[in-house]
Amino acid sequence: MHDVTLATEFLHTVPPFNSLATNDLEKLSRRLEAAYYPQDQEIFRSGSSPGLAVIRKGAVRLVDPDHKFLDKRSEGELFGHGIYFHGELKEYIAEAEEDCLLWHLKPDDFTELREQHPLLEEYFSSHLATRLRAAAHVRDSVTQVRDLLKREPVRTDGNTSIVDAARLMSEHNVSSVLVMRDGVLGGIVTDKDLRQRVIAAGVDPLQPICEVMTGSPMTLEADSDIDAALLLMMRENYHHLPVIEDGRPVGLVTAGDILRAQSEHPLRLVRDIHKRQSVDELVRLSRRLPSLFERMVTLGRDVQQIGRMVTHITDAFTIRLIQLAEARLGTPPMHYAWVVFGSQAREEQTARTDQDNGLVLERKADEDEVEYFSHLSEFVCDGLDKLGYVYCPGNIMAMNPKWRVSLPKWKRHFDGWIDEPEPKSVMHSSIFFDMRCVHGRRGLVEELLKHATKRAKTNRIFRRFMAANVLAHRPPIGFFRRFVQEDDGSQSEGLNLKHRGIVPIIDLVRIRALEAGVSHPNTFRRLEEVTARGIVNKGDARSLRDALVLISRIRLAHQAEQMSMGQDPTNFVPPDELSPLMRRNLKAAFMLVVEAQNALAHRYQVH
Amino acid sequence: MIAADLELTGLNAAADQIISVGWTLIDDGRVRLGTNRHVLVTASRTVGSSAAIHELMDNEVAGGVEPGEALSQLFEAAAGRVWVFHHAALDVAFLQRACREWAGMAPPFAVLDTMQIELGWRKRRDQPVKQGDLQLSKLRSDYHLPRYTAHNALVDALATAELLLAIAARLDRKKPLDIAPYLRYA
Amino acid sequence: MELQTLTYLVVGATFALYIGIAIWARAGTTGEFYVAGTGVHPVANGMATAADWMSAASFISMAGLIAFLGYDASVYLMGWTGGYVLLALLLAPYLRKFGKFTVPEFVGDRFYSKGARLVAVICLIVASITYVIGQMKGVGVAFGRFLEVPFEWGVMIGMAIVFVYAVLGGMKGITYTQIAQYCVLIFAYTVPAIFISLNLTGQALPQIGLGSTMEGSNVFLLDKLDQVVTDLGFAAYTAQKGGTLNIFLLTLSLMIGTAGLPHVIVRFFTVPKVSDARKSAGWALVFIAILYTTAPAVGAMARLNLIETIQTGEIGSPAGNLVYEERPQWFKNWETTGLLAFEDKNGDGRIQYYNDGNPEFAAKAEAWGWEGNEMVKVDRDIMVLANPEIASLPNWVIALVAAGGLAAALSTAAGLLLAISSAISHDLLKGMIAPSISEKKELMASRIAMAGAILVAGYLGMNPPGFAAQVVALAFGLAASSIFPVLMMGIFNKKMNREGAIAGMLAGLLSTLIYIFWFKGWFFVPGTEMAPNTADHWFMGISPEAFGAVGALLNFVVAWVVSKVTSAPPEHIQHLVEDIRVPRGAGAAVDH
Repeated sequence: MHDVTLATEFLHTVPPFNSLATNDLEKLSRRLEAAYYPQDQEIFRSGSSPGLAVIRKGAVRLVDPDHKFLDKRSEGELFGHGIYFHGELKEYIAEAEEDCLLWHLKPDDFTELREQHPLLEEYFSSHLATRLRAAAHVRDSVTQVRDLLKREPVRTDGNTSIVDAARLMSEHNVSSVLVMRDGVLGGIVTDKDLRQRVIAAGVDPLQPICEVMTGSPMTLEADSDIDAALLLMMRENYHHLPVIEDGRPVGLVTAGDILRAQSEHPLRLVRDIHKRQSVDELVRLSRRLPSLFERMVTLGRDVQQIGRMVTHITDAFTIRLIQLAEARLGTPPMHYAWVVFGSQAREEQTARTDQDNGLVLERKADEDEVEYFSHLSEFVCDGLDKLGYVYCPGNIMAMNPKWRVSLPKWKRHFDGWIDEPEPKSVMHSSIFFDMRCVHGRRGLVEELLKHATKRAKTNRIFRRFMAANVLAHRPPIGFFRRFVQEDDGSQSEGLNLKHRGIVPIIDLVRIRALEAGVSHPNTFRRLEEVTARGIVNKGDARSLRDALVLISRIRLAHQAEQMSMGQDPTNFVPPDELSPLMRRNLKAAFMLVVEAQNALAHRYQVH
Repeated sequence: MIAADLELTGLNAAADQIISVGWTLIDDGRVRLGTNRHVLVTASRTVGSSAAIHELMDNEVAGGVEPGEALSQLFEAAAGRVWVFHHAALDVAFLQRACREWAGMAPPFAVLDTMQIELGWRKRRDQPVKQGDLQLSKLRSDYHLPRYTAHNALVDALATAELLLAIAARLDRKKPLDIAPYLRYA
Repeated sequence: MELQTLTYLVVGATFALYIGIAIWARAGTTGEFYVAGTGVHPVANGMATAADWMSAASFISMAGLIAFLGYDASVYLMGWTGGYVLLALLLAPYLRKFGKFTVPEFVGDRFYSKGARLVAVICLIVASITYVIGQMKGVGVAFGRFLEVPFEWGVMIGMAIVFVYAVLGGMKGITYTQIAQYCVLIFAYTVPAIFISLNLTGQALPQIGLGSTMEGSNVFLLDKLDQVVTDLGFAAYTAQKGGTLNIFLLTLSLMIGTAGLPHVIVRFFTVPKVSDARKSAGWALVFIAILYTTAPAVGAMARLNLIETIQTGEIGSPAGNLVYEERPQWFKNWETTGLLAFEDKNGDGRIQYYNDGNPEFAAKAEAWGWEGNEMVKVDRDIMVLANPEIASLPNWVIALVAAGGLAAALSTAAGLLLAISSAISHDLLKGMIAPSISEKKELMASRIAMAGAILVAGYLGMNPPGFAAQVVALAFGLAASSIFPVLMMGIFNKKMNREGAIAGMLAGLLSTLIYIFWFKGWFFVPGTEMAPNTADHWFMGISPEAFGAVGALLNFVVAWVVSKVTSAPPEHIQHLVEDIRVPRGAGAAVDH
C-alpha cells in the first residue's frame, strides 16, 4: 500500500479532482493536511485566505459575515475558494455543521495547483464570468452603459442657487445633479462638491450653482461598453459619470451600477422590475435577459429551476405592466384575472418565447368595461412585445376579444372543446389547460380550472383525441433506432428537441394529469400528483421526468451556446455536436418517450 | 508529534518481532499527509497466524528492509517529537527492545496514548468503560471520523493521529492543546 | 403471368400501399404549434368506417351464404345494415355525451361498479373472440387457396400475419390507410361481379343484372336459377326456408348485436363533431351498401355458374355431368385446400351434384344411376374467391379478389384484437388487478392477451362451428344478449342499478352461450353437441344464430326484476343519466 493511497482513493471520487491523473493526485495528496473540527467550531473567517478544503467526513456550513446562511457542503465537497452564491461572488465564513475531518490545501499550494492544471483553474476561477465576458463582445445588449440607466437624471439650470440645487437633490434623493446651459450639459455637482466647495470653503449658498460645479465633466456615450466605462472611472477616480445620447444627458451611472451589472441575479432583476415606472425603463431592463439566461444555464442550475426563474421574471414584467396600465386607466370596473397559458403557466419558459395570455372577467362586461379591458390588455400585450415577448402567432392574447371574456363564457369555451374535440379545439385545449393566474382574482381561474378539469376527467373520448394529437409528434427515432434529422427552414438541420422531445412529454403528462383530475400546470408537479394518485406507475413517472430533464438540459445548453456565439437560439441540435455519451443518453430518453407514447396509444386505442 | 503504529508477529515483546512500521507527522494541529511513511521489516521468523490480521504475507515481509534501517528512518522522522500511539505500552515495549538490539540502548520516549487519554477522560466523568469501547475503530466512530477498511501500520498510525486531533478538539475547544498533563515518559 | 405469382404481386403491392400511406401519414406531422391538423372529411371517414365494418364475413362469406341459402340469407344484409343504423342513431350519440368509447368503461362508470365492468369485459371478450374465429376462417380460406396449401396451414399462416399486423397496430386507425383498404376491397368485390354480370346478362351493374334476363334469351336470371336448383332437388332459390320467428329473431340479433362490437363503436368517435359523425355514418352506410347490394347478385350468379360448370348438359342424361378428369384448374386448386371434395360414389367418373337429402328427388336420381351427391364438400366460404375463376375471368381480377379478402379479414381482425387486448390489459389488469403496473408490463400483457386470443380463435377457426358469416352471427348473438341491453338500460333507464346490470348481463350471456354450445358442441368441440343442430330440435325453431335476441330479452327481464328488489342507483348517477338525454346547450343558453 502506498503512503497516500488513502487520500488518492478518496480524491478520485471528488470533482474536479477526479479529472486528474493518478500521479497528479498523489502529488496533490502529499500536500494535504488533515484537521479535525468539532461541531459548530469556526473553520475560517472571511478575509483570511484559507486555501482549499476538502470535506473528508462531516458537513460544513457557509455563512456570510452577518452569519446568514449561504450554503451547506458535505462529504466529498470543497470550499475555501471563491464561491458564487446565487450568481454572486461573496465572502463567507465556514463553520463545522457536524464534527468533521477536513483536508486542507494551503493557499500557495492551491495557487500552484491551479496554475499547473488549466482544467482546475477553469473550475475554480469564475470561468463562467470569463465566458460571459467573452460573449459580451459579440452582443451589444447587456454591455452598454445605456442598459444601466435607471431614471432620468436630475437637472437644473446654471443660474439656480446652490441652496435650491441642494434642495432639488434631497427632494429626488440623489447624490448629484446635472447643470444645464443652453440645453446642453454644462457641469455636474455632487454631494462631495457641496461639502468641499461650498460649506468647507464658506461659499454663499445663494450663489448660482455654476460657480461651484465641475465644468465640462467627463461623460460617457450611451452606447459605450460598460467594461470600458468601468476602466475609465477607475483610472480617473470618478464615481459618477453623466451619460450622453445625441448630445443630451440621459442619465447617470455610478461605478456601483457597473459592478452590480456584472454579478446579476435573477431575483434582483425581479426587484428592479417592480421599481420601474415606464415601459421604456422596463425595456431597458429586459435587455439583460439573454445574458442572465445564459448565466443560469452555465451555472448548471437544474432545468426546473431555470424554468421557474425565467418564468418568474416574465411574471414580474407582466404584473408590472398591468400595474402601470391600471395606474394609467384607473381602478378596474370589476374583478378580473390575468391568466397566462402554455410554458409561462407551466413555469417552464426558456430563452426566447412569445406571449400567451388572456383575461377572465368576473361577469359579462358592458360597453364601457369592454373599452377599459381592451385598453388594459393592449397596453400590457404591446408592452410585453416591446420587452421581447413577441405577439402570439396564434393570437392567443388578452388583446384578442375572444380571450377576454367572462368566467361563464370561458367555461363554455372549454365545454365546447371537450365536447367537440376538432383539431383546432384539441390544439386550444393543449394550450389552455396549462393555465395560471398571475394577477387579479385567483378564485376566478381556480373555478374555471376546476370546472374544465373535472369535465376532461370524465370525458375519455376527448382525451382520446388529445392522445391522437400527441402521437402526431413522435420522437426523432427512425427505423433501427437511428436519429431522424430535419430542417428548421433555414440552413441548419438537426434534431428538433422541442417538438419531438419536450412537447410530446408535456402533452403526454397533460393527458395523464387530466385522467387523474390534476389541474396544476407544471409538468413535474403533474407527474408527482399522478403518481401519488396511483394513475401512473412510479417507475414510468420517473422515466418521463428523467427524459424531460435530459432533453431540456441538452436543449438549454445548446441554446446558451448559440447565444454566446451571438446567434438566435433554436430548438435544432445536430446530433454530431453531441458527445457519444450524450447521444446515447438522448437516444435512451427518446426511446422512453416512444414507449410512453405506445402505452398511451394502446390505452386510448389510437394507433 | 509523530503518530506511529507497528505490525507484529505476536504480542510477546520478548519473542515476537516487528514486521512493519507506519507513521505520520502532526504539526500545528494538522496531520501532514505528505509525511506518511510505511516501512516493511524483514523478519527472521515466519509471519504465521498473524497474517490474517495485517494481511502481510511472508514473501512481502521478506521484501522489506533490515530492522536497523527501519528504525533509523523512524527515529530520524521522530527527532524532537512527542510520540503518539494508541495503546502505547505494547508499541513502546517493542520499539525499546528493537532499539536495544540495534543500538545497544533505548532512548527515552515522550508518549501520548490516545487510549489512555480517552480512558482518563471517561473515568473523570464516571462513564463506564466496557471491553472494546476503547478500540481504535470504536473510538473513531464515536468521534465521527471516517471508517478505514484497510488495516496496516500506516493506516492505523494515521487513524491514531486523526483520533488525537479529535480528542484534543473535545478536550478544549478554545485553547490550543496543552499536552503536558497527558505526556508519559518511558 | 402465372396466377400465383400475380397474386403475390397484387397482395404485396396493396400491402406496400397501406404501409406506405401509414409512413407518409406519420412523417409529415411536425407542424407549428398554433396550426391545428386538418380534420378528416366525413366522406373519407365514412369510407374508413366501411373498411372497418366489412370483415371477412361480409367480403368472403356473405355472398357464399346467399348462394346456398338463397333468400333467407338476406337477413344478414338487413340485420347488419339495420344494426349499423341503430348504433349510429340510438347509441353512439349518447355514448359520446357520456364521454366513453368502450363498453366496459361506460358500464363501469354508469353502474358505478368494478364488478359490472368486469362482467362487461368478459362479455366483450367472448363476443369478440367469436368474431375473430370467423375472420380466421376467412383468412385460412384465402391463404389456403392462394398459397395452394391445405386450409389448416392457411389458418396458421393467417394467425402469424394477423399477430404481426395487430402488434404493429400502426397501419390500423390511420384513416387514409383504411380508405385505401376500402378502395382495394370494393374494387376487388365489384369488378368480378361486373364481369360476371356482363357475361350472364349483358348488364354491367350486377344489381340490375340480378333482375334481368339472361344474355341471349328472355328467361330471367332468378327464374333460371330457381329452375336449375329445383331440377337438382334443391329448394328454390327465392323460397323462404326457415321459420318466420327464426328469421325475425336472427335479424334482430344481428341488429342489436352490432352495438356490442368494440371496433365499430370506436370508429364513431374518430370524428369530433356529432353532426360530422352523423354525416360520416351516412356515408359509411352508402359505402357499405355498395358491397351489400352487390352480394345477392354475386351469390346468385356464383351458384348458377357452379352448377352449370358441373351440370354441363341436360339433367339426367348420362353425358350431362362433368367428367372428373376434365375438371377445370380452379376445381383442382380448391381440392388441395380440402374445402372442395369429390367422391365418385357411382363410379362413372362423372360428377353428380344434387340434393340427396330430398326424398322426392331420390327416385329420379336412382333412375339416372346416381348414388348420392358426389360433391361431398363444398365450403360456401370459397364462393366469392372462386367465382372469378369459375367465370374464367382474367388472372389479375382473381389476384385482386385475394388482396381484397385479406384486407377485409386482416383489418377487422386487427381491430378486434386490439380491442380485446386493451380490455384485458387496461380494464382488467390495470383497472382491477394491478393498478400500479408499469406501462411496459401493461403493453406486454396486452400482447400476450392478443397472442392468446389469436391462438384460441385460430384453433376454433380450424374447427369452425359454421361458415364465416354464421360464426360472426354467433358473435353478434352473444353481443346482443349481453351488451346491447345493458347499454340501452344504462342510457334510458335512470333507475337501473348495478345489481340489475350485472345479473342481466350474466343471464343474457350464459343463456345464449349455453344454447349455442348445446347445438354446436361445448366450446365448439365437435362431438360434444347435446342435440343435433337441426330445426326440429331447436327451441321453438330458433337457431343458435338467432338466439341472441332471446338472450337479450332475458337480460332485460332479469335486470328489471333485480333492479326492482335492490336499492336505486346513487343520486349523482341518476342526474348524470338525465343530463345525457337532454340535448346539449339547452341549459347553457342563459349567459350571452
